[in-house]
Parts: sequence; structure tokens; C-alpha cells
Amino acid sequence: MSDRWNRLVAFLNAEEDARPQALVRILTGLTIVAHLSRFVLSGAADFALMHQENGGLSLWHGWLEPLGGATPSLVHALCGLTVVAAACATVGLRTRPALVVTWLGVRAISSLNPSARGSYDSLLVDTLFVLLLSGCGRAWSLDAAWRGEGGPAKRWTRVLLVVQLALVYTGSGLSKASSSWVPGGDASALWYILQQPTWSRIGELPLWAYPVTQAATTLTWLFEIAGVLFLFAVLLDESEPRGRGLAALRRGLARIRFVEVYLAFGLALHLGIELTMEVGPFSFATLALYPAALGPTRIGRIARAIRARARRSAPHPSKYEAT
Amino acid sequence: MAKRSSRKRRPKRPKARRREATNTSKGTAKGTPKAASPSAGPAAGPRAGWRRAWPHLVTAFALLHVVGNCASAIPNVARGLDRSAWQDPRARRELQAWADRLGVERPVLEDGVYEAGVTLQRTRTAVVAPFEPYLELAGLHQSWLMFAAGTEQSDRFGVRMRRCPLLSTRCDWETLYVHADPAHAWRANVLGHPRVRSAIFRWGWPSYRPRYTRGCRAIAGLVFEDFPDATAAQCRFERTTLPSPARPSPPPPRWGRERIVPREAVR
Repeated sequence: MSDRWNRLVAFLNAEEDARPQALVRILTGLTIVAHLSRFVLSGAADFALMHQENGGLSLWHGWLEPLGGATPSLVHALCGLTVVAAACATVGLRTRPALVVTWLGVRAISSLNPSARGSYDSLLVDTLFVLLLSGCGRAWSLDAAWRGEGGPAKRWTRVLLVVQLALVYTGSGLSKASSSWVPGGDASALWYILQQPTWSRIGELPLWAYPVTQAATTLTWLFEIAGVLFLFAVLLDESEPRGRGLAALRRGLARIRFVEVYLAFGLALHLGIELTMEVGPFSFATLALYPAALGPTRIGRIARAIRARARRSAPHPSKYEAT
Repeated sequence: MAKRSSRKRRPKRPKARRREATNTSKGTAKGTPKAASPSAGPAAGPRAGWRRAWPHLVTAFALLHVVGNCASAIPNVARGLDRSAWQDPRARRELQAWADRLGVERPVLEDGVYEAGVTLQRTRTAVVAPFEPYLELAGLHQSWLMFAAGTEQSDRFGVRMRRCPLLSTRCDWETLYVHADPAHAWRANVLGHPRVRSAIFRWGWPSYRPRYTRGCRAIAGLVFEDFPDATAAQCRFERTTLPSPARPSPPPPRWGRERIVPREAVR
């Protein structure tokens, strides 16, 4: 067997700190709990998911067809079960079975009305599928704390989550082939999108903001198209490439802190989307994948920094002794 | 010493797990994962054989997953190949912009785009086909067609109702709901929810007309539930041309594409 294959096997099957994958699990679980709870409590779930025969908007019964169709009681039971399973996955209680139920639940819900689906449904299902194969329950979970199931996780599932993040951005960039997105055009896409009454939170923009939206349009497009380069940067950062060209690329990307800069821009982009538009939980579902790209080293560094800050801000015992 | 005493306080783990975790904590102390050795371990019995083969199987599966998903991420342009949708003013403006940029006539460009789209879709179908069973089973989709274009014309959805017969002049239509208008926010929690808005947004396109008609009937059901004296409900879209530096004073918004559902039509 070739040396290259063996190195790939060793790289993907390496054991590592499970915290990045645990964070992806927690953020994804929270996103599902928050989104589905609001969906059900607002009454929108009844309307969007129920079949027209039952007063709803849907033309399909989806996965509920064999059970009698998308009736109010079944839709409520399905949403309730998925929320409970997602909550269990978030806290890491029976993590893997909880993730399996959440994965099936989200798929079943999104099968009930394809018209009322969002890209976030696909992203959540894609993420949950990888998580249920991973060791994401081996850190920051009740399974780890109570049942002694803590420990390392395999790296390969985290790599798949980073691939997922890169695919979302690159795929989205490739589909933005309109003249209003592609550099060289009038870069007017965001000017119009931000004012779309269906999605906008801010209403009409002042005309002076037009050049700002033009710059944001081009930067967003470049950011999304660079998703492939981002994936390479993460993989190179975590491996030891033997080729001279790859090693030089790795050094170059590390010098400009490409991964950190890319993720910081992505964070700003998603915050901007959340502030100006209402597009469902897409931003949260995407940001949930960021810990996978940060990896154990950076997550460890962030955790240490938070701990150190907490220690510094905690009152020193000597203060109490003095009083 | 202090470190040792803090370790003692940790909850006890089963032996095998504890050993594994300890190994890893050494390996990850500086963020460097402990590398798995694909060919390590003595070759004794079928169990050991499986253990040796497992990392290779996992790697093969990971590669299958990555290649399948990359193939699936090739933009799916099937819906865009419906040429009747190209008659929509927003699509026409986009095609005209590209025709001007490339210096060709719009009909010529449209034919070229259609042929390229058909070829891309055929290629995509062929490339994805071997992975289809796996992607289908796992529920994996990688089509990220989001805000593919910004258009100067946009649609705003609205709902009205009336309390007297349709042909009567005794009453007028009463506005109940207009997207993102706090003054007309009837059932905004439902109609303004991102999932419902997603469905309504699609109704604005010509290919979704049948769904619009049926969807309006469902909304009319809500109207009649909340207003027992309502005789008819109406759904409609307001076509707005957004201002831009090139056109700071666009034409005023215009309501159209009405669907009227009388009470008798809803059970």
C-alpha cells in the first residue's frame, strides 16, 4: 500500500481533543431547539407543515404519510420529539441516539412542505449526519461527566465538518453568477437584496450607502469563492506537507493568518446578515461549524484565555481576609 | 502537588476509557493529535485483522463522503432551465445585463445560456449518479443557491378581506397583512415566519402560480377562522422598483396578481 495512503489514514484516524466537535454539537443543537421552538410556539408550524386537507399550507404528507398524514397531532409530536432530542444532543445526554433522532426529525419535518424549506434544513441535516458518526459526545457532555464516556475523538469527522463549511461557501459563491455579484459588473446585488421586503429588517437604504453595499457585494463574493482555499489552508495548517510547493503555501497562509482572517470575516458577514435580514437560522447553523475549523489548538488557546481572564476577574481570597 | 490533588477529584471512568483519555491528553497537550498507526499492532486472529482494517475503511468512507458531496455541490440549474420563467422582468433584466456586457443580442445569449445549462445539468446528473443512493440515504444535499441575484424589482405580499358580497359597493377591501408593515400585521407570527415567507416568496415566480392559488386558499381559511363575518379573502403582490443612484425616483409600487377566495370556496 502506498505511503501516501498510509499517511492519509494516519492523518484522518488520529485522535485529538474532542472539544471542537463538542462545540459544533452544542451550537447545532441550540440552533435547532431555538428555531423549532419558535416555529411551533408562533403557530407557524401548524400552518406551514400541515396538509391543506387539515387547513395547512402543504401539498405533501412527507414522512408522515404512512402514519396517517400531516395531521395536527402528528406534526406536534414530531416537532416536540425533535426539540427534546436536540436538547439531549446539546447537553450530551445519550448523545449518539439523541443525534440520530434529531437527524431523522429534521429530515421528517423538512419533508412535510418542500416549499417551506430553507437552505438551513440541508445544512443542519448534513452537519447532524457527520456529528452522529463522530465522538462529539466525549467532551462537554453529560455522557462524559456522568457515564465516564469522556476522551478523545477521531479527527476525520472534524475534517468532514470543515469540508461541509467550505462546500457551503464555495457552492453559494458559484451560484452567484449574476452580473450584480460577479466582479466587473455593477456590484449592486446587496443593495437590492438588503431592501427586499421579504427578507429585510431595515427597510429602505439611503442612497449614500450604495458604494458601501457595492464593496460588501464584491467582498462577500470573493469570500465565498475562496471557500476552497480556506479548506486547503485548514488542512495544510494541521498537516506536514512534504512537497516544497505545498510547504511554501502553508507557510504563506500561516504568515497572513489566513484561517483566522477568513473566519473573522465570516463571523462579521453572518452578524451583518442577522442585523439586516431575517433569513431563519442559516447564519447560526453555519457559525456552528466554525469550531471545527478552529481545531483543537485554537479552541484550547481560547479556552485557556477565557479561564485565565476568569481567574483574574475573580475576587482574590486575601481581599476577604483583609476585611 | 496542587495539580495531583485536582486530578484526584475527577469522577472515575471505566479503566479502558481512562487509559485512552490519558494517552490523548498527552498527545493533545500542545494541540498535536496523537497519530493513529494504520499498520500497528500484532496480527493475531480475525479481530486484530478487523482492527487493522478499520482505519482504512474509515478513510475510504470519508473519501466517498467528500467526493459525493463535492459532486452534489455542482450547482443544480434544473429549475433555471424553465424558459417560461425567463420572461419574468427580473430574469429579463439579468439576461440583458449579460448580453450588454458580452456584446451579443439577448436571444442569442439566451440560446447559448440554455445550451450551456442543459450540458451542465447533464454532466451534474452523470457525476452525482454513482453517489445518489448514499446521498439519498443520508439525506445529504449540497445545493447552495442563495440570493443568486439582486434585482431592482421586488415583491411584497399582502392579504385583504371584505365583509359584504364581492360585487356589492356597500363595503371596501380591508387590508389585514402586508409583509414587514407593522400597521398591517394580522397573523404576522405565522405569515412572517421565515419558513412561511420562504413559501410565499416562491409564489411570486410564474412557475409557482398553481401553488400560489392553493396557498391563498389556505390563508383564506385563516381569515375566515378569525373573522366570522368575512365574505371573501384576497391575496396579492405589490411590485416595487427599488431606488438606486441610476434611478433615484423609481415608478410607484403597484399591486397585482390578485387571487380572490370567497367563503363558499373554503370548507
